[in-house]
Amino acid sequence: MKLDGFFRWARRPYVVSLLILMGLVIINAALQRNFFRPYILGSNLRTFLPLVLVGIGQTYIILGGGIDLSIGLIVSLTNVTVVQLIGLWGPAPGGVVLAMCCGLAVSGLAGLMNGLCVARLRLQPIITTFATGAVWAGLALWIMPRPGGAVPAAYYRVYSGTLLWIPTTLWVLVCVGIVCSVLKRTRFYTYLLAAGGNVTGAFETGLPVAGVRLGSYVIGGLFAGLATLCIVGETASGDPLLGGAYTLNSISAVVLGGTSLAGGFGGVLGSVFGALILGLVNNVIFFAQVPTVYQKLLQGVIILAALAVGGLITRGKRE
Amino acid sequence: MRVGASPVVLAFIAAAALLLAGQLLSPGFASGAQVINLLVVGSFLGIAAAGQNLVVIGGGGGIDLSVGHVMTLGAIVGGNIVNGQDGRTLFALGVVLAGMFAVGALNGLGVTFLRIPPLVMTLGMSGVIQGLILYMTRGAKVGSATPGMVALITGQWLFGVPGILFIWLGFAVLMVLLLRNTRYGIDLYAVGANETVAYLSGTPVRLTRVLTYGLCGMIAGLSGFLMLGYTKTVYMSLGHAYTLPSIIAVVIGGTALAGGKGGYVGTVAGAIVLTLLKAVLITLNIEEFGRQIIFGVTLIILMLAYGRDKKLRA
Repeated sequence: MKLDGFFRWARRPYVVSLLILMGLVIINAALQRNFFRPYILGSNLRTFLPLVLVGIGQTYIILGGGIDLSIGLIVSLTNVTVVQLIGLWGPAPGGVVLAMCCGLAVSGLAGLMNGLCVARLRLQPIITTFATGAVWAGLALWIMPRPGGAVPAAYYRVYSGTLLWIPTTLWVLVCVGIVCSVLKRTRFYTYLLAAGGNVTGAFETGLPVAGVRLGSYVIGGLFAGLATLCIVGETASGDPLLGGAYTLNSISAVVLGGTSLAGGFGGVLGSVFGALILGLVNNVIFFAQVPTVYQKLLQGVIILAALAVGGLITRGKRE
Repeated sequence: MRVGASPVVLAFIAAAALLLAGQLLSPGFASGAQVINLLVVGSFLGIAAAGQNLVVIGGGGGIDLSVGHVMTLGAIVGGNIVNGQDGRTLFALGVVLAGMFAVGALNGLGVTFLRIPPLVMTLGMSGVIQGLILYMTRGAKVGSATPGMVALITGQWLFGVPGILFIWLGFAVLMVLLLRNTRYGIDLYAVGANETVAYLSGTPVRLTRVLTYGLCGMIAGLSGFLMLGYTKTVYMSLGHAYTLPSIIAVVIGGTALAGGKGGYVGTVAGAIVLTLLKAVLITLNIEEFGRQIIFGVTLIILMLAYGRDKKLRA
C-alpha cells in the first residue's frame, strides 16, 4: 500500500521537529513581513548557524551514549585562541587561515581529552565533562582575560558575503550536510549507534566501543570549533565568556530533534531542525513584541513544552 | 584504580587532607574560627545537596539541574514576603517551602507521567525559573532578610557556633532518619535499585518519584531562604553556582548516579570537601582562571577514584 511508505517515513526521528519547525516558520513569517526576503533569510542563517553546528556535534556524542557539558566552553576556548592568534599572525590572509586551523586543532584536542576521560577511563560523562568544561573555561580566561581582539574586516566580510553568488553560510551548511551524509554511511556511524543503544551487546560482538565513542567526542569538538569560526565571522572579536549558553541550547536542540538522550536512536537532521526551532522561537518572541520582562519566561515555557512534546513522541517511537 | 574503603570515609579523609594543606599553605587556615566560617559557607551547599541526593538515589537517571535556580527563587520569594519585618518570617518560610515543593513536583510529574528524561525536564524547568526570576525582579524591589533571620543564622548560639550549623545538624539528622527509618526512604532505595522489581512488589513508584522531586525543590528553597539570612539581600545569581556542585557533592559522598545506593552523611562530606577545595585554592592566591583549571583537574582525579563505570566484559 502506498501509505506504508509514508508511515515508514513518519517514524523517522526528525519528523516531529520538522513539523514544529514548519509551524514556527509560518508564525514567524506572519509576524515579520519580509521574512522570506533573501537578506532576512541570510541574516537569520548567519545567526543560527553556530548553534546548528554545535547541535550537530553534540548529536554524535549523544548518539554514542555520552554527553558533553563542556561543548559551549570549547567554543569559548577556541574563540579566544583564534582571535589571539589572528592578532599575532594577521592580518595577512595566510596568518588568519593558519589561526583558524589552529582553532580547529584546539577544539579537536579538547574533544579528544573529553573522549579519553569518558570512553577510555570510563568516567561518568556528566560530571567529567563539567570538570573539563571548567578547565576549558579557565584556559580561555587565561588566554584572554577580557573580551576584545580585532579581526580583519576581510574575515567577517567573507562570512556575511557570497562566494559565486551563494552566501558563504550556505556553502558551510551544504558542505557540512555532505560530510554528515557520508558519515552516516560509514561503519563508524553504525558502530556508534550500536554502542549507544546497547553497550554490552555491542561489546560482545567485538565492536570497538571505546574507540567509536572517543571518535564521537573528537567530532563533537571539531564541530564546536567550526561553529566558533562562524561566530568569529559574526562578532569579529573574542570573548572568554561567550560559549556558556551553547551547551544547554545544544542539548535542547538535540532533544527537540528526536534524538534519545540514552543514545542509539536519532540523527543529525533532527538536531539541525531543533537548533533552527530554538532560533525561530527567539525571533517570534521578539517580533511579537513581548515585553522584555516576560521574554525569558516565555522562552523557557515554550522550550519546556516543546521538550515535553518531543520527549513524548520519541518515547512512543522507541517502544 | 580500585579503592577499597567506603566513599564516606574517603571523603572525610580528603577533607582532612585539604584542611592540612590549607593550614600548611596559610597558617591560621585551620583555626577554630576559620573552620567554622568554612562550615557556614558549606552549609548551604550541604543542605541543597540533600535534595539532589534524594533525586539521585531514586534512580532512573535522576538528577535535578534546577536546584540552583530554585534556591534563588526561594530566596527571592522569601525575601519579598518578609521584606525586613520579623513578624512575617514563619509565613514566608511556609510559602517558600510549599511553593518550591510545587516547582519540584512539576519536575517530578514531567519525569514520571510524561516520561521526559530528568536531565531534560529539569534543564527546561531551570530555564522557566530563570525567566520567572527575571520577571519578578525587574524593576521590583527584591526584598531583604529580617534582623531575626540574620541573628538566627549567623548569630552565635552555643560555644561560638553560629545558628546555621545547628540547623544543618538537625537537618542532617532528619535526612538520615528519613532515608533509613521511614517507609518513604525504603521505597526510594527500592525504586532506585530496580524500578521494575519495586513496582512488581507493590511499591508506589510514581508517587515516590514525584514526592522526591518535590522534596528536592522544597529543600533547595529552604537552602535559598536560609542563605538569605547569610547574605542579607537577594541577588540574581545567588543559587546559580550551586547546581553542579550539589551533584558533585552527592557523587563524592558515595551515592551512585545510577541510583539505589548512598546516603546523606557522605553527601555532607562531599559538600565539605568541595568547600575546602575552593577555600584552599583561594588561599593559594591563584587567580580565577587558575582556580577553575585546578578545580576541574581535581574533580577528574576524584572521579578516577569514585566514578569509574564497570569495565565491559564479554
